[in-house]
Formats: sequence, C-alpha cells, structure tokens
Amino acid sequence: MTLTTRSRRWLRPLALALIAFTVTVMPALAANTDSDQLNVTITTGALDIFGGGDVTFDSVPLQYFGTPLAETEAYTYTVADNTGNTTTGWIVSVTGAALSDGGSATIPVGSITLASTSVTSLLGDPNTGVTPTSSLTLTGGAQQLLEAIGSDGDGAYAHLLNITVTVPNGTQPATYGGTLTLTVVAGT
Amino acid sequence: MEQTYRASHAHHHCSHRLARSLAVVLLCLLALAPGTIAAADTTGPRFSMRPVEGDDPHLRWTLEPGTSAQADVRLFNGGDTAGRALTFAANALTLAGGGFGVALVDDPRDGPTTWVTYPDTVVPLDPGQEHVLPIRVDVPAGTAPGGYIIGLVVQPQPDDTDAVAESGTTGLQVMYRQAMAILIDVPGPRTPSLAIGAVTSFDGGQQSIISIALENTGNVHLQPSGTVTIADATGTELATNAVAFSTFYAQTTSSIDLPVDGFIAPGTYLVSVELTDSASGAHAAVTQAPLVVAARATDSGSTTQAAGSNGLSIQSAPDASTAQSESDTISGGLSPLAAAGIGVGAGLLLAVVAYAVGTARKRRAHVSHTTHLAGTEHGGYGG
Repeated sequence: MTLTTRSRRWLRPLALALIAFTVTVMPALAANTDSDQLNVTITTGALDIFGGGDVTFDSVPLQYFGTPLAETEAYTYTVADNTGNTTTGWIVSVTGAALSDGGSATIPVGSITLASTSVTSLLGDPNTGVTPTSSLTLTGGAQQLLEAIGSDGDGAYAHLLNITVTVPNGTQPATYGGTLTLTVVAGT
Repeated sequence: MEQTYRASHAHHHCSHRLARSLAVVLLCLLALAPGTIAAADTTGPRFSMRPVEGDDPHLRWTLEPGTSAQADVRLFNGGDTAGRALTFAANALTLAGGGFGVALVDDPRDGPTTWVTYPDTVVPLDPGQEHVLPIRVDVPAGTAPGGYIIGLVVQPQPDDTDAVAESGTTGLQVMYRQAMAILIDVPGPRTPSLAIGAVTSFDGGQQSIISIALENTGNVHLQPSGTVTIADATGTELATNAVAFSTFYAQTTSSIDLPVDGFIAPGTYLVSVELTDSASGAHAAVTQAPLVVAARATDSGSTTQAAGSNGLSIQSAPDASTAQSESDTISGGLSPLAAAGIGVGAGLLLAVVAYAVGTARKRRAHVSHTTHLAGTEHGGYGG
C-alpha cells in the first residue's frame, strides 16, 4: 500500500516536469533562427529586405596629412525570400550618392566602398549559391551587391558588410550625411 | 533516534522549500521572458509588393501598339510597426555588370515609364496590413517592336526616416526598397545589337576603377560575355579578364566596372573588349581603345600599379565557389532566444525533479520513521 502511494507521488512531479518542458522549450525551438520574423511574410509570399538602423562614422580629425583618412563601420542587412517561387532568384542592388554637409561641401560618392564580409544563412538551404559582390566602390549608379540565381536564395540571408568612407585630403570640416539605397528584386 | 528523525525531517523540509522557491523563481523568469523577447525583436515597418494574381513576382504582358493591360498590385507591411509606404513607378535600368535595377524616387521618368498609370502615393500600413492598388499600361500606337521594362517600387516615406549625421560625424541613412518589374513584349522583328562606348577610369576610395561603357542598342534583352584586355602604351599586355553579364535590358545603358588592386599609375593604356550574346548572336568588340589616366590630385601612399613590366592586377568578379567559402550558416544551431528558452526550460525541469526527489525522500523518511515507531512499539527493534 505504501509502495503504491510512493509511485503516485512520483507520477505527478514527472507529469509536471514534462508539461513544463513542453511549454517552455517548444516555443523557444519554434522561435529559433528568427522564424518569428519570417512567419509574417510567408502569408503573402513576400520578398523582403530589412536591416538594423543607419551607419554613423566617428568624427575625424580636423587636420591630417598624407594618407586620406578612412573610417569603416560594419553593417548587416537581411533578405528573406518567401515568394514560394523557386525558379527566379533575386538581386540586391545598391545606389549611393555623394555625402553632403547640406551646403556646397561634399564627399564624392566614389569615396564610399562596400566590402562583403560574410553571408549567413538564417533560414533555408545553407548550400545555396548566394553570391556577394566581394568589393565595390559606389559610382552613383545602381550596382549589384548580392545575387541568388534560380532556386538559390529560397530562405533568409544576413549579409555583413564593411562600409568605408575615405575622406579625401582637403575636405572641408563639417558634418556630412547621405543615403544608401538598397533594393531587392526577384529575378526577371 | 527521535533526534535523528527530526534532523532528517528538517533537512528534507529545507530541500522541499528550496526546490519550491527555485521553481517559483524560474516560473517568474518564464513569465517575464516573452515580454523581453518581444521588446528586443522590434523590426519596424517592412514593406513589400507583388502582383495580386499568380505566382510570378513580376507582371509580364505581350501588347500590340495601341493596346493596354491592367492588374492589381498588393502592398504589404510585414514588420511589427506601422509605417507609411511610398510607392511609385520608375525607370528600369541595367545594373553595372547586368541585372534589373530601378531608378530612385527623384530621378527623371521617361520612356516606357510614361505608359504607366499608377498612383504615386503614400499608403499608411499597420503591421500585417495590405493594400491593393490598380496599375494600367497603355502602349502608344506606333511603338517599335521589342522588349520593354518598367519598375515599380515600395519603400518607406523618406520623411519618416531618422537623420543620422550628428555633429562632427559622417552618417549614411540606409533606405530599403522592394521593386518589381513590368515586362512588356511588343511583337515584331527582333534586332539584337550591342555597342561598346568609352573606356574611363576613376578613383574609388582606395583603388582605381576601370569602367567600360556599354549600350544595348537593339530591342532584345541580352546576356553578353567575353574578355577585357589591358595593355600599356606599347601594346604589351598587362592583364586579361573574363567578364560575364547578367541580363542587359534592351535600350538601356550599363558598364563593366573593373576594380584594380590599388591605383593605376598615370599614363596611357590600351583596352580591348570583346563581348558576345550567345543566344542572339549579338557581338561587339573594340581593339586597343585608349585609356588616359591622369595623375591623382594627391598621393595617398597606397600601392600604385605602374604601366609596364609589373603588369596590372585586376580584381576578379566573385563566383559561386568564392561565395560558398564565405558563406556560413547558423540554421543548424540555436539562436540566443532559443538557447535562453531551453535554458529556462531545463532549469524548470531540474527544479521540478528536485521537488519530486525532496517529496520522495520526505515520504521515505516518513515511512521509515513510521516503520521505526511501529517496530519499537512491537519490540521489533531492540536498543
């Protein structure tokens, strides 16, 4: 009789443990690899591009000599392909413009370079050929930054960039700002 | 014995309280976790667009001159914050090296973009909300046969983005857009044609770029490939590069931009280019076109590549194998969120097991004590 009572006392905590494990761990697993962000877009089959804020470089000395002063910041954006169309792939292009102080002083667009550091598969086939342009100098025109051909790129990918602004010698000390436009399109 | 029992009982009582307290703390952490996660996961508005009908992410129409077509386009906010979506039609263009690009909102609109009736409008969208807009294309009478392409864009309203340059800094505002194409085919004879323009160079921040202007002068979309050879003024070859274009849209211009390792020394160079589109047979070539490189305004001290015996090092275009080696994946691993959740879950599991063990020991001690007392009463356990 005593043995039976002890067995029942073991069952209840065990059941509680299993329930606790299920309630706690399963949602965490479901939320893994940012799938909470992607579930929203699956409903409409969207091709999506997003990132985390803007890029601000440190101020540079007012006087410098010799080598132009270059400042580099790391930046990440993400492309999520939930179109369900596995045959077209996609392209991310970048368009830049000269940095301006709001007046006549500028830093030429050619002073901005983008270097691909890594492409990380967040969701989807990690073996797909999502191809970054290894390094490019902005020209003012639209240039390719990342490409997935055909069925490649079905999933979500984070592209880490090093963005460098090389301040030319003789640049007027000022606060400069500009816009970097990233556009994602499905393959045509 | 009674003292031993009391000590044991007190110990198990302590374990029981400790396990219960631990479970309560973990439950509180668990209850707080979703709020913390939600706050950290804010993504802002994320706008996307696509045709309402069909699986094709673009609109494709075959239209005779003087006819029209119309469809609906769905705008969607897949982010977790409300925002204002700016949508507009824009000139399509060919990216440097090929591929579909779209002009910016303030760029001029001409050519087939003027055939489009689409509201340049700002649409407020809540998270998960969609909005459908009609689009119509009228191909003017007398339009020449060929392939035409137009861009449609959705992006955040520029006024809604934050200024990023603070005092004493340099700031880049990053604008994310999604675009789709309207591809129109006007039936009739096809005349593939390709032209190579001027060869120039310009300074990038840390390197020279050799740029070869191209124009798709025909009415067929092309995918040319070929070679670029650079020689010094005497004709001695310095570098040869294979080049391959993605789609080069009919009646658009583009360029081949070749980044050089470092800066090119001032002087005259001779550039030869040969390109062929294998599908249509379109071909273009130039032989020893002059490239005059002027002295740079300042000597940066960076590597300078002289014309002549040392050759010229041009960075190769990335290929799939390079990209693969740079790629990484975390899809088989756990995000910090998942790891935290599993950690809390495992902790809670341990707490419940500890509670169970404590309860069992207490019960066992109670049974033992009861048995001991019973044995004493019946003289079964003599001292």
